[in-house]
Amino acid sequence: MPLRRWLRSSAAMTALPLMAAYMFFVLGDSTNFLEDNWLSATVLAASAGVMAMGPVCAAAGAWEGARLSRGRVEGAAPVRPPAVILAWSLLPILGTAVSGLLGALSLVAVAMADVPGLPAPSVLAVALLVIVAWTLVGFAAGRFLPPLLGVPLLLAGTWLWLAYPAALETFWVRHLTGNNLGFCCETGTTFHRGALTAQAILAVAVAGAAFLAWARHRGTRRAWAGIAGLPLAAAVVAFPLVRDMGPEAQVPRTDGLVCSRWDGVEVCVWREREKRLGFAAGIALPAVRRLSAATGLPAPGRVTEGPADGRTSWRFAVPPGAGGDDVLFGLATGLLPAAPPSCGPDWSGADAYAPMSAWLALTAGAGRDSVARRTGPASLGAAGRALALPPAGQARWFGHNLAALRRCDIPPREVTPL
Amino acid sequence: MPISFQGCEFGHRRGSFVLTGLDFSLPEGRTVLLGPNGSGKSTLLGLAASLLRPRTGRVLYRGLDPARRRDRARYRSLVGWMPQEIRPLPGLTVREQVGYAGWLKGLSRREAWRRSLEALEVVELGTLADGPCAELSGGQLRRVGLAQTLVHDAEVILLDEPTAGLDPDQRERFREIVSRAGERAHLVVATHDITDLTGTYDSAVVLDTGGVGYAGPLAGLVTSAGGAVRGSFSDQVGRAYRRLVTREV
Repeated sequence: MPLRRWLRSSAAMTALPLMAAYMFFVLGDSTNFLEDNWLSATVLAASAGVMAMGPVCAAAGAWEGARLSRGRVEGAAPVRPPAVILAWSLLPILGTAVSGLLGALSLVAVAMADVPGLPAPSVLAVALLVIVAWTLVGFAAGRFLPPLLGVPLLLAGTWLWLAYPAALETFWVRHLTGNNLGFCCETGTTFHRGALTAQAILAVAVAGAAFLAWARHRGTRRAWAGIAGLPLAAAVVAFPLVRDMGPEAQVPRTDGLVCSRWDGVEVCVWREREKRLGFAAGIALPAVRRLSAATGLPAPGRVTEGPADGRTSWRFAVPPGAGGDDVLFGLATGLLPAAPPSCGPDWSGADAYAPMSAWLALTAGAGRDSVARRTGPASLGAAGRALALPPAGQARWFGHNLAALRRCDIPPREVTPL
Repeated sequence: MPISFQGCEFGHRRGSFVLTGLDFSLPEGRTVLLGPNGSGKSTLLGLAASLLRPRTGRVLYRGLDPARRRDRARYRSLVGWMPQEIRPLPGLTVREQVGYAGWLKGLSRREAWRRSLEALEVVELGTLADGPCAELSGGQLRRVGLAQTLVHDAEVILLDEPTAGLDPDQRERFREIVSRAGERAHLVVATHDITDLTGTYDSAVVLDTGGVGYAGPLAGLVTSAGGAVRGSFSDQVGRAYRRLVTREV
């Protein structure tokens, strides 16, 4: 039978408008919050695709499964193997899912027009895998349930499975279900491979179990063992991959830097920001010299948006739209510890953070107004007091308060305005 | 003929045997499979169609044993099967339904589509080819079922109670079509309705209490049941059949 004829009668054709509408709803204004990297765009498209299409495809699968069951296809003594029969019925739904994913990708691509790079195929592949798995679950359910029950059950059940884990404080659950990458990824981060692998493993197992449920006769012990055992085994394998993950499935990015050397210092930005490399270097290099002289820290050989050790390399950021003061403030605060020590609630070192940020930013060359906006007038006042000290005194002030930020037993000094 | 049963026994899971001691071959040509309700006619056809697997023994056609995975596809492509109830896939037209059945039986999509119209012409449904299958009458659906067995050029066609529930006109028309189909392939028609016993069949198989009571030429059924009786040939066969299954002999 010609493909167009088969498509005409498929539930996918009914589901397509519903999916498209829901996709627009899910995507909504999210494109406005995209980071300047294709990974975040791909993750948004994939997450929206899974949320919008997963439940609808599962429901369409339930309808198609029931259709094959009502047509007693297996009672027709078919020559074609069950997998081929299933694939032929799955084809229109999957075609629709692929179209939906591409549609979502096209929408986010508009927002990514100026950003170099390409979508992450592995993220899209896992999203598609999750959709396929739930479509197969729908097929299996459709074999046993009437459409009136199976279709709404799969629609609601799949949506809950995908959406609800994000509300749980047990974070690893969300990393298994397939819609957890919605928060990923800032340009300086990338997705956690373990989360992606875990989702893929579970999706393959669910798909396998669903196929067994659809293809095998009821009561076959081996089939039931597979139906129950596959997802369980997959969960056992996938769980360690996501067990210790936090709410977001992202890790610091380590590759994709573009570097250039000026006056013996290498300046590196993410490749998406290559156009801003010259601007970044023009702002950062004089600031690095000023900061090094004022703090007594050795001048770094590298200033980078990527991983930095704070000694031979300093960290900064040049996000799109960031002005000179933004870059300077980022560079300045990059010299401070990223996280406080575990000293308890009475730790006084925290008082040093804002005044030191202000002093570093002013030293780097940032404008007073800009610094005041970020740190507040009190911190600006404390920084001004420090700046009034002779250079050696400023270096001591910085060294002492940096130690106060790192240790619990050193109180900060002169961090309040006169 | 072609399909032979070798020491076959069949029973449903945890149940008693429905058929025992099947050790015979279905006759060639057009065969009517007779037996009262519950005698195992549908089960026998299910075994022949490879939908059921015997507990013991085997079913063979051209040396192909459908219980063996490697033989099953070829076996099924050679044997056409029409169940008692034709359930079309919702949403398909008549031609799509037949084309889909052809594809299920191993034809390519293009070939199945091409042959679907030819099969529908044979069963006199060519004019309804583009109509929705779900809107057909019971008699028309039976003809769709027959077209589904013809579309893939099966060598053996198995029909389970093809005229049950049809009115006399539809029944007569269906018989004519079945008769024509019998010129293209070996035909086995299961029925418990003795009005189907016309001269259109060459042979008969009579099932009784889980076994084969008779398998051979239709005319031989009269003899085996205790000799000639008065009336038309159809009447004679009918009475002979009744004697056989009610043990009047």
